[in-house]
Amino acid sequence: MGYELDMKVIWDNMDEFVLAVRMTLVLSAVAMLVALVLGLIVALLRVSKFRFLNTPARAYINFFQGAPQYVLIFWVYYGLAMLLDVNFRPFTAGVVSLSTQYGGFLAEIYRSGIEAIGRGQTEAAVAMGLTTVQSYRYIILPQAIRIVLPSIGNMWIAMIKDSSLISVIGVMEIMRTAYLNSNDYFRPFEFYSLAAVLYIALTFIFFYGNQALERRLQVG
Amino acid sequence: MPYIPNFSPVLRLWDVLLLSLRYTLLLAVLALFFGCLIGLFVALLRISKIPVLSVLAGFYINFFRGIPQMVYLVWLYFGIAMATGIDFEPVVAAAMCLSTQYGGYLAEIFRSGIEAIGKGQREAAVAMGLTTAQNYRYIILPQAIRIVLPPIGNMWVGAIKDSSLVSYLGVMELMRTAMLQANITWRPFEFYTTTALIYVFLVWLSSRGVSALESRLKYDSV
Repeated sequence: MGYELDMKVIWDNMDEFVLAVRMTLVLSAVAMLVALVLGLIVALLRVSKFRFLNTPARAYINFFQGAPQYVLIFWVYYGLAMLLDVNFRPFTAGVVSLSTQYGGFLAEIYRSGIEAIGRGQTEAAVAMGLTTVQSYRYIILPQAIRIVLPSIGNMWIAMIKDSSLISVIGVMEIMRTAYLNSNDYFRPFEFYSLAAVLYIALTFIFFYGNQALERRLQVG
Repeated sequence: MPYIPNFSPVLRLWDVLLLSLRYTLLLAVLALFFGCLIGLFVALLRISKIPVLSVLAGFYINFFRGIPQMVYLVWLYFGIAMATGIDFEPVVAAAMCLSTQYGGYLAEIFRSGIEAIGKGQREAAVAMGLTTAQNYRYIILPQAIRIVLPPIGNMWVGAIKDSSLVSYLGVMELMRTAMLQANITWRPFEFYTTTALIYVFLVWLSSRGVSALESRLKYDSV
């Protein structure tokens, strides 16, 4: 029995998918913002000379590099919720699990940027009488940010892809919308193909944007 | 009333959890093995001087780097099955999905490894009268292998983590087993914590292995 492709059913539900794309981007953006802040904190702890700050930061980074996001989502939405006796909204749980893991990744990226700036600058700042905080704020971080921005862009693209995992707890982003529609119409091929196309389109856009950003940041 | 974690169900079912690792490792091994074969092939196409092949290989690589794994997995298992009528076994679908996707990542790794060998070597080989195939077999690939082995090790780490996604299709690997047990015993916190720690441990072990491999392979580059 031949299978007839039915593109009309996709077109009829396009409005849902527009909202889905929006949700994907919103979810990723919120998680990314939290991760950017969290990652900076962890990175600063990581480069600290004090063991009691350094070691927990290392443990944090190693843990989130080793744990799959899929496991983390369940851990946050079901496990953590049970432990803390709270009822997470799916969006919140998604943001928590994504941002904690990507905070770990970003911490490593920040750290490599900070360490790339070189001791010379750090020592010059001290010689000029700047405190550690001042040297970070005016000398090191501004330069480190320029170096790591393309890597952060790659993390953004990865986060958009990982947001598809949050579908399992019910957030109405692209994957979940595709899932529900394919169940309603019994047309998994059409809807999941659409989901794939949407993700690839998003990835492409941000990939080329990231490359353009990289070119602009190329300091002579 | 505060929740008191109780790990005894986890300890009781410890052997079940560890046994499920066989699927995790099986999928990671299959993904990497077939991924390397596909990746090498696609990489050779990508650096080919025939434009059509290079462009097609480029599409392959960008497609599989742009698509989230879960979407691809579900598309393959449900979508293709419906469209073509082929009924995939979950493990088979999972292995196909992982290996084609890792083939895309590995193609880029192989390509950079091959291109790192340097034109000088390739031109010297041509000057010595070797055919392209001989060139690759005796000169380029042996050297490229040393360069790409650490990134492939990182891919192995990724494959172990990505095997958790195939639980969605019902393959009884670690994540699915843990999910089932967590639902049966009403102890999600304990089971998911343990699962996360097991993955972290496997990843840590693999990373140590990769670092050891890396230091053994290090030699002064020409």
